[in-house]
Amino acid sequence: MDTKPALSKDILMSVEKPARYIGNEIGMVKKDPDKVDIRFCMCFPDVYEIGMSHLGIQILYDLFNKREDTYCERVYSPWVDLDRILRDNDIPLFALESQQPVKDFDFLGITLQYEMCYTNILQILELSQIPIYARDRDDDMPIVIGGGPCAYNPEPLCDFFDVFYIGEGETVYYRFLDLYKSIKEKGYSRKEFLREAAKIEGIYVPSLYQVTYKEDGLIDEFKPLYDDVPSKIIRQVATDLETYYPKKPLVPYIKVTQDRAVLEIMRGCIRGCRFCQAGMIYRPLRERSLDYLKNKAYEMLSSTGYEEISLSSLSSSDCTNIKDIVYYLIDEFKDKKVNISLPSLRIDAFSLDVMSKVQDIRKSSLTFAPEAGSQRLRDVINKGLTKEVILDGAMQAFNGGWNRVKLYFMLGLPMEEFDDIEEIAKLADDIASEYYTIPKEKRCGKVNIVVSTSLFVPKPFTPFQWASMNRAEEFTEKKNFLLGKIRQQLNQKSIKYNCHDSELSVLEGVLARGDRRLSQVIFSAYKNGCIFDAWSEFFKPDIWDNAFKTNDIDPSFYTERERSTDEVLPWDFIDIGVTRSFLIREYERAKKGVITPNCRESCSGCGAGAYLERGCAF
Amino acid sequence: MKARLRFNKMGSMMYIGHLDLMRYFQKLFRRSGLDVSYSKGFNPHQIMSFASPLGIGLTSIGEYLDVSLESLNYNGFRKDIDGNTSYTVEEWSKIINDNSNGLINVTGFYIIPDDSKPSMSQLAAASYCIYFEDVSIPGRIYEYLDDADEIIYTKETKKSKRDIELISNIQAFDTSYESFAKKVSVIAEFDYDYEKKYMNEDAGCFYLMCTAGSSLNIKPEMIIDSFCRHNCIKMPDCQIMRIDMYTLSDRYISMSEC
Repeated sequence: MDTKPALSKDILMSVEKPARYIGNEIGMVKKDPDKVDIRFCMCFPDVYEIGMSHLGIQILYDLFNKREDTYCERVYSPWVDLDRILRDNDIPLFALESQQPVKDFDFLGITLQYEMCYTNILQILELSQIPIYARDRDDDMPIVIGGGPCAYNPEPLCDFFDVFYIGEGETVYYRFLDLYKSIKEKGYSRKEFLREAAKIEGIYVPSLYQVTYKEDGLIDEFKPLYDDVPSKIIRQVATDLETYYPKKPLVPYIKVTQDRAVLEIMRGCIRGCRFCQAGMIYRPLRERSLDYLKNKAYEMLSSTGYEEISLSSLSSSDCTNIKDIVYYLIDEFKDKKVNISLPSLRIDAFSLDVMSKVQDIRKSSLTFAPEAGSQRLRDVINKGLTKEVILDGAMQAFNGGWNRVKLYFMLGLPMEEFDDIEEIAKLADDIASEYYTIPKEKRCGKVNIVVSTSLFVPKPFTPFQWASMNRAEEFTEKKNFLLGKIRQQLNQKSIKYNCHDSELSVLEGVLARGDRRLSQVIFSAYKNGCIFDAWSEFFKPDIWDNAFKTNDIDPSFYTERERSTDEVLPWDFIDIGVTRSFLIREYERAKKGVITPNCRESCSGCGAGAYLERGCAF
Repeated sequence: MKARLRFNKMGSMMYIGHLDLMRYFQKLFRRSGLDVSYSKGFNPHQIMSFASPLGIGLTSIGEYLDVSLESLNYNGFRKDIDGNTSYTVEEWSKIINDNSNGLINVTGFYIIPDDSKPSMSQLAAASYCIYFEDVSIPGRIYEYLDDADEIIYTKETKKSKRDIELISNIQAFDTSYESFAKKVSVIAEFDYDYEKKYMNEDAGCFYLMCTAGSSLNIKPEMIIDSFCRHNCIKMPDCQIMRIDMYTLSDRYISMSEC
């Protein structure tokens, strides 16, 4: 039977897309909240349509709900219209499943997928009527946990969280919940629980550590307050990936960003691009077996009714089983009207064959991510893609009937010169020229090339974690320069240019490599109206500027400085398996423009193989 | 082969809009393994049409959709069911409901002639039950409609104004279900208690049957609004539920019977 919505009909009828708040989706787990020991609310701090598209939460949803003593529910950021109503009417934020207040839960777990959602976290806490600062929470309040990629530098958020879970959820979450239950049984104290939890590998309790700073603002020392609290937090890595996976993924009523079944074929990446955080923090490479993937594909399509299945991984072409799994899906489901989507696939004969079978060529486009315009700079970032490969792939595709190409680049990469940027324009033009070598009668209309540039943000645990980031004005200058160069090309009418916002990227850069002192800045920005910063229509750079000023913090300290490799970095206490010496080595090689072979070609000794009993399987 | 499905849309499903409901049914049929016909081309879609979109905020126990089927055989993803397994329409109703969310249920599954007109173009009238928090309202609306020979309602949209005469487009109304059912000769079974759970137990009910369809569609809200304007009162709290939809030949017949 229907759970009565927490919101009245008047409210639901007055907000945009009320279906964001009613729950009851297909695949939703129903339990009696009174009959479980642990209530866990999982949060994605962005709007429903974004949050529902995230695979990680669905895996954790499955993992928690497999426990009979635990009921895992969900909450997402209320859109600005409902935000106002909840505040004006003093209605506490509620979880979708039971429609009951989040503040009554034992845990609130928030996934940290990008820096620009940090103000939304404070919104979730405040609307839930949970004190924003962890130190103000008493024993009745939920334990607030953070996890996900941004937890690899949790410091800017550490005042707001009780706990961070560093790494993949499959390993110690059960032990963590068992500990909670045992402490709850003998008389719960928040303090005691946190102190004990800190001893579990991978669990970081920020309040049990102290940071001191030198006069120049650099970190002097980071240390635990007590002897029994570990000084290093070891990232958790699941060695067996065939344990938890949603058999019945949630199927939303409204159209969401990722409106399809998602099959995660592997974790980790062998490539080692030097700007890429995911390429480092998810090492070592772990593949799921073909049988497991086949079964999951069937289970998910049958339980959801989705018309589309997408293969997910950082670089699908590097998966050993990729051909088998793709041809299996095509053969097995071709009569059942299942569309197959294949992001992150290298353009080659295989992928073109597959794409021609599963997509409408006239409507689909080819995607290349050279990331840098010149070969010199691609060597610096260790992106092993050459111009020949791109032109060859494009030509094969043009001959196969495609005429749309998307190209992704970054501006502001370390060691970048204006010549490298000009090469972006030339590469786009060369691709267009290649198209026009095809005799006119064999072409399918005009070629259509879209160049997109993101702005490089150095991230923790990458070889570029020490590098200097461009200022907003430099980014803007480079964007204008590139646009000018594109307009000078012969085929400029076929080339469209998109780019990211300079100020937003700089703020992302501050938060990505920030330290504990930034908590107060985030708080001020939020209190003065910043929310949904990732949405350009809501991003308010002036308020952020003021928040830095009133807290007497210079954002350029975090972005523009090139760090020395012996500096204590705010995230140094986390051990991700990939060693610091490897990252230093890679940084040095980048400076010399020397590429490093991928893991299959030869092992570069990054250190992550130690997670696996037998090392990496290459 | 063509099928007409009658279904309800209860409780919080009132917040699911028409396009999302269509997407819901597409997935529901795929989960169930119903052998639906698809359009040709690179983006095939299920051949399906609804009699009349239900507005957001309304519930219903009498919605209709037409769907083209290849067969009554199972054509889903479950490996434990053979592709040649055939089910009766009653069995299909149950399978579909087992794959639904408990708030959208198929209550009738009829095979209709291949050449029958889409339900949308057959639609002539619809009946509603309107629950009012204020129990005095149904009686007052009854008097208002009973006394009038003609009610001109001005419908305003962003672009235009249009006058609609209401009385000639109201086929029946009453405050008691029993007497309403007598006026509306054919009416489907009505699980009154089920829907009452969503309302105040003591809510007053008003029953109404009015013209529906693509050329003229009288919404119950228009009649309530007209009553409110006449009495200079603000819109009372109410919940509208669609009971059934009808075609017109020599008389009004429920869509489930044609």
